Amino acid sequence: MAYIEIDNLQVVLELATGPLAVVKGVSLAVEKGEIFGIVGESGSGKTMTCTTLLGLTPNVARVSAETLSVGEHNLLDKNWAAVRGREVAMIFQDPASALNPVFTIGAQIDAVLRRHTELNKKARRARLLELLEQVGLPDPLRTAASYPHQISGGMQQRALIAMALSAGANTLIADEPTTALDVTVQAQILALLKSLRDQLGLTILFVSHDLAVISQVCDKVAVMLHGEIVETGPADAVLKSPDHPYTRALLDASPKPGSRGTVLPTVAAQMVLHGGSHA
Amino acid sequence: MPELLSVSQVYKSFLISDGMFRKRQLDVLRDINVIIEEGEAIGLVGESGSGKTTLARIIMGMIPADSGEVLFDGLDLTALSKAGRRERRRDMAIVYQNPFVSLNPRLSVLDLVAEPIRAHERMSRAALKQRVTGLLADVGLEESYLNRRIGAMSGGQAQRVAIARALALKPKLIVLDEPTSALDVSVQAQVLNLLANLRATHGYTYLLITHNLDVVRHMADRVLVMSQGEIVEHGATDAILDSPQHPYTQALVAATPKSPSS
Repeated sequence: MAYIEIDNLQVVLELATGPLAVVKGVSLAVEKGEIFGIVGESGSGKTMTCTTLLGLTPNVARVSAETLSVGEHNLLDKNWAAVRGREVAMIFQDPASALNPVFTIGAQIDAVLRRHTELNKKARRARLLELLEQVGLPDPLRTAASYPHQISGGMQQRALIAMALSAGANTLIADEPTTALDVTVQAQILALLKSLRDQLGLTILFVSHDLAVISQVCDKVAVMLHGEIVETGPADAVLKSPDHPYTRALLDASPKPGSRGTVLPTVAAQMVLHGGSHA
Repeated sequence: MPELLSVSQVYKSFLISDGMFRKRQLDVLRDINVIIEEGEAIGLVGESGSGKTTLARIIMGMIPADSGEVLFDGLDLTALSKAGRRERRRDMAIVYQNPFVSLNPRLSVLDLVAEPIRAHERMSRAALKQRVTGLLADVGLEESYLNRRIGAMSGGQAQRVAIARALALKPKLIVLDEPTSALDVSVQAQVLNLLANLRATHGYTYLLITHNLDVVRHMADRVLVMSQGEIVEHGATDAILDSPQHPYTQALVAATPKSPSS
């Protein structure tokens, strides 16, 4: 049995206008220590799929699955207190809005440690500094005393990764973790995620719309379209020689060296949901 | 091609507050020199805080430079009278990253696109509507969009409205500030094709600000690389991106994930 097992996952939103199926029979198996990419455009259901692992789907969502488990935890039991933070943690696209602006970085991570561990004040302080060092923050003491606006976006995302790991999570869901960052900072965060996987054996679900980023960090990838997985396999194979026309179309639509002066092939209309936005 | 814009020796600094009473001078632009010829597409790349957007705002005449000269079509915008500056402003337009932030959600598409025309020209309502319909056709939107609001549109459609609005007065220079960063790749492809097509048919001049090197390579003839308020490298796009000379450009190129299919 794989570490993350999703079998026939369905998510239906009960809207005033009627039910809307947003995840339609998704099945995934992610091994421990794997970085597994989920790629797709806005509205393809990639984020909704991930939030079912934390019980963070919106109130109007009805979730069902044959199997939904992470490690020892059967998520269909909905024992979220044992899962959230302790087994599965999540980081988001925009670190500035994920942090609370009125508390220091140290206070925000300490809040997680107080909630999830039995450590006393002194031990929590030691653990806090250890975590900040682990995510590559150069001056842990100073960062711990800083407010979010006093540190850069890259440092904020590192702090959030430290927070995500603070309660001992083995699984990290990274939802577009570098989309809001500059490319050089993006490269650093991607390297950090890989090294944490190597050091701690983290299992990472990496959600992105950026095929180039996915190909750089992921071992395996699933391509989502309209709430379904249309193609899955080793990242190299899927992105170098895709089988499904949608994956091919996504690759062709990206500008690349030599494409100037040519018309970029656009994804066929029936494959595009409603051409949404990431902002 | 005649020179459309010439920026020479422009400096800009801001006073930023450093604690309650202390102020610190932050040099945002240092000795910036740029020449843009008519019909060119120039890329301006650099990271957050490198000064790209401040430079664009100075070029548009939204904020003054501390020193140096900005000549648009041979005229110094800051030296003109208010009315003269207003007249020049119709020759430049800007498209921002996120149409849902830059466009007023309460206005109809008709009013959004008509607003710059109303500010500069007098025409009947029927003529105005006809002109807006034509502009929407240019960006690939049907007439049925006239009375819609952007809240009910996708990111790609809303960005088309922003482009139609920028084209409304047939400007000589269009500043594109991260025009596709908020869009999906399939939609980005459509918007890039649209921009390339408009340039081919109408001869627009673009200043394309972006951090995406693939987009710059696709769109721009020449590229300027900014780092910490200075232009560290400039030249033909392919030459710069294939063999970057400045360490910053080298770092930028090295950090950009390679497209898996190339």
